[in-house]
Amino acid sequence: MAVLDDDVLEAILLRLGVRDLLICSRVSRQFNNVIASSTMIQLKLYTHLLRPPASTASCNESPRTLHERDGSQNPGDELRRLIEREKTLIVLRPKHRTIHIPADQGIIASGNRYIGTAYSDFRAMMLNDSRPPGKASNGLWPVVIIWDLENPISPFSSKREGQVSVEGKVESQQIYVPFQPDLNAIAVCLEHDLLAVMEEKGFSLNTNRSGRRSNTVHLFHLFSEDGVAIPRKIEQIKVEFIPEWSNIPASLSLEPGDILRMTRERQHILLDCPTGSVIGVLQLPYNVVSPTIMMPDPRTIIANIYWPIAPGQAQGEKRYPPIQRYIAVYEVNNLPDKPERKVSSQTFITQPTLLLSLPSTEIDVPPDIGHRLRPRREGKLPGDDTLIGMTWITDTTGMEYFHLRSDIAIDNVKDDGIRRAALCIRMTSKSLRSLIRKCEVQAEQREIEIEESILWQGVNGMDLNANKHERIRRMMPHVRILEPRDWLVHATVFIETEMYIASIVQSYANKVIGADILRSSQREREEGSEVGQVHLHIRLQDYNPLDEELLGYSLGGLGRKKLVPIGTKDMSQNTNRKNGHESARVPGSYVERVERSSTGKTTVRTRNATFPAAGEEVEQVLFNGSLLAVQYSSGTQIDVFNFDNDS
Amino acid sequence: MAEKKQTVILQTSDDEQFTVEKVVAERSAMIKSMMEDLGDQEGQAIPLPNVSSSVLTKILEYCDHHKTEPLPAPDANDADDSRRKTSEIGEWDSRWIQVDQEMLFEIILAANYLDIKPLLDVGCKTVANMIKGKTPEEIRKLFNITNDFTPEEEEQIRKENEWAEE
Repeated sequence: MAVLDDDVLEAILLRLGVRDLLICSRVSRQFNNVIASSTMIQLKLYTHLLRPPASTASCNESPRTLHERDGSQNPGDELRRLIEREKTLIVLRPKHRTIHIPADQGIIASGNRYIGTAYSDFRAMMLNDSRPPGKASNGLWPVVIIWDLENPISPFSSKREGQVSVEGKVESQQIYVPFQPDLNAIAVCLEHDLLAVMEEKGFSLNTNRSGRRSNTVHLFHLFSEDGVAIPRKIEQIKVEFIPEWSNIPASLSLEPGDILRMTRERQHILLDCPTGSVIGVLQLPYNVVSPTIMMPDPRTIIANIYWPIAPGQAQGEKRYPPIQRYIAVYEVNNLPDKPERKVSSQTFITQPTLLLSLPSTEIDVPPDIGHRLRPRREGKLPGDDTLIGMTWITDTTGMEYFHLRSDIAIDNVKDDGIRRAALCIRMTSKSLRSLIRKCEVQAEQREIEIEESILWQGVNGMDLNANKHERIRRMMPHVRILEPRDWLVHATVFIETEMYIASIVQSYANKVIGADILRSSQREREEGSEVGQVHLHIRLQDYNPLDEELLGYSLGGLGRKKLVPIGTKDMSQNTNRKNGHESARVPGSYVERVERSSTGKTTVRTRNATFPAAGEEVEQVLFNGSLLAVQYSSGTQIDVFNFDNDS
Repeated sequence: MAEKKQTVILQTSDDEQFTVEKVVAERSAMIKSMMEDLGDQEGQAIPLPNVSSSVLTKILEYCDHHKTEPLPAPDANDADDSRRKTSEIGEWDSRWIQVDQEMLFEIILAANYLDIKPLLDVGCKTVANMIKGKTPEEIRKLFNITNDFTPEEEEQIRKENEWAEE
């Protein structure tokens, strides 16, 4: 082959696919040099990586080249930029370690060098004889365990009561409080040394004041010499929930902007953690389902709202009206802030600032996506005669955007069949806010009283064919409702064909890492090539979420992002049936995904590698900006990845 | 009486002269431009010092078969996507290119030198098809290439490429 000069060799190599090119780079120095130094080949490699999957490409317009995508840059500049980014990505290697924790503990927080775990009912249920921890020998009640991953400067001194012995030589400390804690109402912030916990008063038939569950949040410092939590300056925050729900357990969550959210049934009380004052009260409507409440940023709360079954008229041959689903957008500074008011009626509903009507038919979404939708064959629910199935909001708390996904069926170009996919919609907080401004939403009518009969009645007497929003109108009469066509233009809409996103699991404040769990599609499971695999992708983003121009980039686009190989996990029993033996998945495959935004088509590339604990399903992922902790549904193992060396 | 066909004389590296139809010789962009430079100097042989007679014979066979086809646009470069995209080779071409490896490389080099883009394309595709799906070791064996990497170097490249392998 030495007879061929580099130019001819380049011409030959240019006719190879990416896989063969990478193999050729290992043949000899000449091959390697030609591949590494040829702009055309390097462009081909990168273009390939950034190209949408064939099935998608053939349905949309042909994929544009890098050069066309950004006319301001020539391919050489673009290439140099890409290579530079790729180099950074290659050297990024989070430190990994595995620790083992008691089986009844679930991770509830991860700090820069700490993991917080607490007793979990759910996990304990899987064990036969596990019970909530009782009073310890020091007369106090255990509430959380803090695991120190790095150690040299441990906040804990010598060995003492409460230290848990584990494999992995990670030092840990049990933290105690002087009362019986409600183990379902704990919030921990390791960065701010904060423990918020409610008291367990138990269920009582007596719903007078003394018999109710606690409405008080106790605030402590987390770290102490002896493990006994030290009360903070503001020691307690007392709030008033609706009395009728006093026996329903509350939960606590720490939100961006030092906001502590107390939730009891459909009432959410937002507290300013540093001062202990109430910021606002959110009361969601009754008899609707609102499975996701989250705060993409400190100023906004969003909730998805729909009716659990087809509305009313369930008997006979009557046709069901289409299900309407909404995202209710609440502005924190618009919420009523009078929790001390004695609310005796269930008919108060906090009015959102804006309602976004979710797409339900092909004409609701951009044409290039709409024309690919096919009527759903399976999983048809009564009344669910729409093309687009149930829609979920993923928890992107603090990430300054929200992400929705919905089951759809699309044309499969390859075999002319139909396959399931996910319709994904993403919108930044900034876009959301600009929509709010555009709509000139009135701040009055923040909380209104609704006739109880309206709340609980079905759709009798409502002509939903004439006005599909009539039902929601009865509860939120003054709120502006935006149709999909009016707000989707400000969002990124794309179809996830290869994988569908199970969840974006965690982020932290304005830090720049998010994690997706991607579940391979039904088609892949059926074909058996990537049978039932769960991929955990960690995306490092150096985007500025307030910069709307970067929407396409920041939410899964080309530039300004690093994607780190973290893991692939087999969750299916028959994953390796084809081979007849257990084998790790070939590491390092990547997934491509086309995203669509108003600025054009961009592609996200994600990378993954075999996860250390193969064969288990990821249950919980926590990330705080530098430390990622992954817990599995079975077993006691936690994998911890420290990204500090990259920052 | 049919009009006399215009011809051109090509002289190979081993000093053999070939009288070739102009339309056939013009498949080579290099010869075409040389002819234009020489003008109407009848009988003047065009020297091809990088091409042997055996290779030229083979190449002329190709050019003769394709002489009626339109010439590729002069600005069409090697990176032209439409040709590179497909790895398919025409039926006649694939029969014609069935030669030993040494000849195949000679043809590719000559096609490159003579600037016959469709021929270079056929040659490169043929070699590319031979490479496809093979391991580095198989490729070395196929083309008698010496592995001049140290094991560490090769492992390093393999690791670097791992992420992109499907």
